[in-house]
Amino acid sequence: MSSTASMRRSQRHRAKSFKSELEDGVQATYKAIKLKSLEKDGRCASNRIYGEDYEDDGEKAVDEVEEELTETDSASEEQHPKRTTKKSARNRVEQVSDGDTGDAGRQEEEEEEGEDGVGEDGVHGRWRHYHSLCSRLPGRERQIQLLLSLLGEPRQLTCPALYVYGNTSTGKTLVLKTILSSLQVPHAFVNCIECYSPKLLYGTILAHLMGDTSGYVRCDSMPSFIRSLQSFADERTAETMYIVLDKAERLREMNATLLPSLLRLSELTHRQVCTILVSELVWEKLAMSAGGLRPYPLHFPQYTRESDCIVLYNSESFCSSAANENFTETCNMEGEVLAIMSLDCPEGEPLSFYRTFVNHVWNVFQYVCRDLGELRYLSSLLYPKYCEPVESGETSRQETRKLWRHIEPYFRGVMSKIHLREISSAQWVKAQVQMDSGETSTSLAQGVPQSKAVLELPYFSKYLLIASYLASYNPSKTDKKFFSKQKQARTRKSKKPRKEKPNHQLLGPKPFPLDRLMAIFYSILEEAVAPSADIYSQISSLVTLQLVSQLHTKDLLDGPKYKCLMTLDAVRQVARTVGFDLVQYLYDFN
Amino acid sequence: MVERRRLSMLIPSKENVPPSSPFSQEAVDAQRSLQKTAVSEKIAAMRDRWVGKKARTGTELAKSPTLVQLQRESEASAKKERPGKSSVLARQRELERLHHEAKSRLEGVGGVGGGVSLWPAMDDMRLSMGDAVTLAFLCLFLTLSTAVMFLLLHGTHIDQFKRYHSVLSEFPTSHPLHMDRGQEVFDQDLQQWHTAFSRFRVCLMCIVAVWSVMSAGLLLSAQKLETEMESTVLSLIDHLAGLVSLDLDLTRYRDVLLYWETSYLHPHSCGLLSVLGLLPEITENQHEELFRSLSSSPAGDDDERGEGEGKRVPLPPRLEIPTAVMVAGVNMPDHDVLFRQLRSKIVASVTPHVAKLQSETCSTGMKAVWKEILLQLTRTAETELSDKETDEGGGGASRPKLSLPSLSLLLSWYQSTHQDAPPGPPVVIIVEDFEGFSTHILQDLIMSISPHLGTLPVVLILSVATSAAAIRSLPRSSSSLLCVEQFSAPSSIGTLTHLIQQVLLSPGLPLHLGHQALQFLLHQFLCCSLSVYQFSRTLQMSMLEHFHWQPLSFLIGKWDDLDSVVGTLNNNQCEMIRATPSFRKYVEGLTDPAEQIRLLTEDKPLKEVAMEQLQRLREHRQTFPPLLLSLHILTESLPTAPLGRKLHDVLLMCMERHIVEHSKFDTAWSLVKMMGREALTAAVEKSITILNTSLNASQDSLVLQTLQVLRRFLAELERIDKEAQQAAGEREEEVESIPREPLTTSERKMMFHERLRQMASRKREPSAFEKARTTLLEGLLPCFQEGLIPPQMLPFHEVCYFNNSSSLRKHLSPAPRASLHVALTKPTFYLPSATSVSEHSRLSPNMPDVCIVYQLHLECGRLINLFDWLCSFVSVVDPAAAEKLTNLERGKGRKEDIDPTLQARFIQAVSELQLLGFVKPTQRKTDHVQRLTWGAC
Repeated sequence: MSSTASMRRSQRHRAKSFKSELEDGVQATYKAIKLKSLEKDGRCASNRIYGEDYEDDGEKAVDEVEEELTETDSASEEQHPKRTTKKSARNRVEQVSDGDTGDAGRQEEEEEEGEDGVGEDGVHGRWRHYHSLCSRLPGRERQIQLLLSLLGEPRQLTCPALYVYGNTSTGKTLVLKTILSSLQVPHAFVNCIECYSPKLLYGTILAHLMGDTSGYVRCDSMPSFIRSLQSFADERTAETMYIVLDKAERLREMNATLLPSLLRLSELTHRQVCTILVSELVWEKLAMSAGGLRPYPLHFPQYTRESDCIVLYNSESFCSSAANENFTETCNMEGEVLAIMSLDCPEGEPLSFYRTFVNHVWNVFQYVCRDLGELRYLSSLLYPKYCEPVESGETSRQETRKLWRHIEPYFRGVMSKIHLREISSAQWVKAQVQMDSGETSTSLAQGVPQSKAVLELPYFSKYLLIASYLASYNPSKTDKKFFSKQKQARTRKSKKPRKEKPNHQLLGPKPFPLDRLMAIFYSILEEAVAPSADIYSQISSLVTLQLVSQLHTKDLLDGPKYKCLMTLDAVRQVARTVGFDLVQYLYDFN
Repeated sequence: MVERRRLSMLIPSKENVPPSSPFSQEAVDAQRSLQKTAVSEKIAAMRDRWVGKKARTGTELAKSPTLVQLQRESEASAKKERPGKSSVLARQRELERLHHEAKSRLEGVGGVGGGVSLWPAMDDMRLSMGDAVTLAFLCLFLTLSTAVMFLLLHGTHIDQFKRYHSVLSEFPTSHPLHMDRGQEVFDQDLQQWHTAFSRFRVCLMCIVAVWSVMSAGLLLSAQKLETEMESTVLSLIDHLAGLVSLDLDLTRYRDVLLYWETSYLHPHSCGLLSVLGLLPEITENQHEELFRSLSSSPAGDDDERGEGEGKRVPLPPRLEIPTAVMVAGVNMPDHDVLFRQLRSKIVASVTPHVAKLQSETCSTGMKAVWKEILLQLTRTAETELSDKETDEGGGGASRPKLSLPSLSLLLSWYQSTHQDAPPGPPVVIIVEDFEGFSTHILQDLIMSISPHLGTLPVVLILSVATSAAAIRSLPRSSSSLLCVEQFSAPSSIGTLTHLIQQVLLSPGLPLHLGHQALQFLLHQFLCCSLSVYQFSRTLQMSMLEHFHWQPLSFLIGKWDDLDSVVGTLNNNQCEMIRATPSFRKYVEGLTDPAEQIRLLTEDKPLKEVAMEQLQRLREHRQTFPPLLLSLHILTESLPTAPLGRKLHDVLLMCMERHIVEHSKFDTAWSLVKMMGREALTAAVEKSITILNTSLNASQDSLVLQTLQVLRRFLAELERIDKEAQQAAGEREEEVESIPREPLTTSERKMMFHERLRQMASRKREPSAFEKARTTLLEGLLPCFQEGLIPPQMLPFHEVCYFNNSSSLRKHLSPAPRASLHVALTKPTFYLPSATSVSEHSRLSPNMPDVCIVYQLHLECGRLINLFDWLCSFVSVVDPAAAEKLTNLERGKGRKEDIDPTLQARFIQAVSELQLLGFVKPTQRKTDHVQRLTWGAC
């Protein structure tokens, strides 16, 4: 109980800060709406957050919400996730993971089919989408709820800036995209990687808002951007415009003033603009400079398999125990990950069968990879293999152990090859086909070209590389011992026990001057070679190949310094090709 | 309102950002309105100025636009009246004045020709009326004078011809035949006619004959003149040799040479330049396999994707970018050619949209990357379009403006070009040097492309120089978006073997490399660059050198008709032949002194010998490669490989000296003698195919002989097999016939010892295979002995074997450090003016300062004290001043005693040394510099 109390306290505190920010030029109705929307789910806690000052408004809102809830409940009965048919589940396969934004078009079509007459329903029409959204995006109910309440209704004032964050493939982009497109509000969805400069960012946002097909409207500066936003808002209705900036961490690199001004767009334009930043970082890491408006943070936690992970849900504004319990129940019955992955179930396959398969995949791969997109990709590759004995009639669908024994070697192969991207999926499929046509299981390894091919270098380059490695990993004072003429006698002497010395292999490469490199090179190279320009040019070609790196010194005339970037194994391999015993010259091994 | 909005557009951005607190809104409004009024005033002022100017310029329409511009500017600046602008104003006025002057001059010129002269010099070049008239008169005069001259020279002849003509035309009338006056008169008349006409004819004949003889002489002399002109042009070419080494501007020389060459010299390439064309072809063949697999891969991927839409049940949840990782090898200089070929192949067979990215152009950021991609793609599309337009006559895509290149622009471009067919050809992006790119840029590229794969099918080709593991440098988030397939270029050793087989050992190549040049070439390739480009450059260089310095190289071009060439050798050329070292060696080797004298004095026997030896050289050239290859095949798989495992090892050995005399050959041969049957048969079969192909090219006795030996061996083996089969049955019976009796242990021991003794004493009978092998090897040895003679042992090998490695080294493998050392220790080597310096004294004050300082620094250790250095410098340059210095060192003198000019010279010399990378300042000790042994890169 004490924990919930402290949580409430912290939330109250946060709410206060939020409130003080909101006070700047935003009317009181804003809060009333916010409150109302939060009340909708019967969360009394929000009363405590916002209701202190606006209790009267809150009372009214509660009444409205209650009416609406009766509506939505009846709707939810029909569209509960469990009762959705397999077909509809299949259609949603592509839309769950974060990564694939390419299917947006297809998804929008579906939206329009599914939701008929969205805008026509009254003020609370937005909540009609809730259950359909939840069924489409399992495991993200909480976030959808919160987002819907934060976004509010088209003409209501919204919160000026939202910050959506969470790990990769937690459905941030997908949830936002689905919500915005199903609500059919003016919005711009911009990937900040594509927009490398502020100009391009402004232009792309405007083009998205206006529906320009070329994808770019000329807009050179923040003021003109604001003006165009204003004029656009004046032309259209007074609906709120949503600007979603995906991969928002890239905004840091552009301009120090860009991020703060984007966050204050609604203030600057005096229109209803909501900026939603999407990122993988927490806000403290993203906002490097102080002084900006702090956006409302919304965390997308990792999808979980086990229900006990619910504890990790310390969502910012929800603490209603009732809701949590409800949620726990649903999660108990079916883990989020499995729910999502089960959506991939191909047509005509029994769902429970597919779920056991997905369970296997999760159990095997969870230690190396929790990226949902990757897991789904792997399971789509492996499922035909899993089904093979069933289709050939060897086993029935119930004999899980047999099936497991059949699929296990493939799992291992996939883990070592595909997950590391040593071979492409196309090659893997090809290799599997070869295997099926009567070859042994080793063909997988044979069909793949050797990725660790021996580095082919000119003769002198090899020696230069070895010399650079020696120079990087041997202390310079030991050069005399290794490379002087009386080397034999000295090495014999040095066999007496020495004091404990630091392992230079662990310390990493040290920079060395060119002079030392050349001296070692000429001492390890048996034949006499004239120091022609060829040798110097080979050093620079090694630098361009990133086998040796050149440190930036102030003056190139001042004797450049280098570092060897090769690993011991690679250099040993190179040394073996020229018949050079590397270990004999390394300080750590003598 | 509209105006107000427009006005507010002009407000600078920083004023438009309101303060954070809305309470100060009014203040801001007030400020803003103030600013607006200020700006509107400014704009009004500007507009007024502009309108006024417009009115003014309206009156000055006759003036040229630049003039108006100038005036406007001057006026504007005059209005501003800024301080410091007066000089600019003056300059502008000056310009204006000049412009006026020029214009007035132009008007004076006007009316002569059409149009206006573009630059002043053109006025001088235009023909005036007077010029035209004089030119016409000149032409007339020249024509007339030439006619008069002709008449003067040949007029008499013409007159004579006319006279003869008239006489001849009157001849029948002057010599009438009277038929009616009886037989006598008729005969008389006939007699008269005959004599008159025969006299006439003799005269005419005489004249005509002399005439034709004279004109023949004229033609001959003209011909002589022309050949002389040709040789003059050739002599001009000869100057090229001297000029190449000099530091002169040769552009004019080249132009002149080109002009005269094209007008006077016949083009005769003699197939020598084919080498230059040959190399790219060969590399192309080498890479063809790679190309085929590469270019098929994007297409294959594309097909698969198209198929997947319809057939494959589980669509991969994320689309991967089909990526080809190409391990192109570390030979960077060749990559340019490789990628140009790859690009053209892809354009020809897969898709017209290819963009090639290089790290130099794309290092600045994503903007540069998109710009490069868009520019290249639109360029290819334009060329394609222009082709189409000529066919269809119109239509096409709008070219995107590159105001702000981005992915969206690329997307819209792609959609506009492929509106009609949704699955258009893929866009191939070639990343030329993966290592050179920063991972950020590649990561951004991949991450921004991957969501749009559905609308924009992109295929990446990443070229990696080192190994495919370099792809791991990309973070997982982006590398998991790639569907990577690996390709690798052929290994450098394989390339080298291929090059040797196709270029150096090809009989079609007229020029060959001798041992030293070959060694240099291989050293360059294997130790330094692994680059085919370098290889071809070396070959080109050696060709240049050979034809430039070897006078007998002209014989190469005419291998096919040696008879005619050798037969027409003139005296000079014979002397050249006598001067060749290999011929002298040949003559010295002759036992008959009379023969020697005959060869050295007379041309005819020399020509015969030359003919014979050149023929031999040619034959040797035909037999050498196939025999070398078969030797290589025979010895490559031997344990310890005494003759080397690679072709170039054997080649080098054979070129060095006679392979049969080589010590390693003996070990190799003894190992071959012990070869197993299977290995030997395989090798023999392989070499038979090689010999057969070469035999098709040329009928050569030695090759034929070798072939016969090999074939006989195979036939022998077959015979042995047959016999063995027959014998097998018989032996079985024999084995059974040996009686087996029970023996005691002691007896068995005794028998065993007995048998051992017998076996030791008896010489083992060689098996049939062993016999066949011995005969084979005995047959092969003389073939190798005869065919693999190193070319430098043959007379006249200089004609087609280039062996000057030092010149190649000088040109292709520069050693800057060494030449610097030479220049600084022996300045006379490079400076002709410094000849007065005596060779004996190593240091003399007459030397340049740097040389003195350098040589002094050679005597020092790693750290050099500047003051000591200065002292020794002074003692060399000015021995008188050195005495003062010794005082100084003893503590008596003062530092100022050293001549400041000497100090300055010294410091300058030291800084020059520092610039050359011999010393560098150090912070370890004050007043010291550090010596550098290897300099800086």
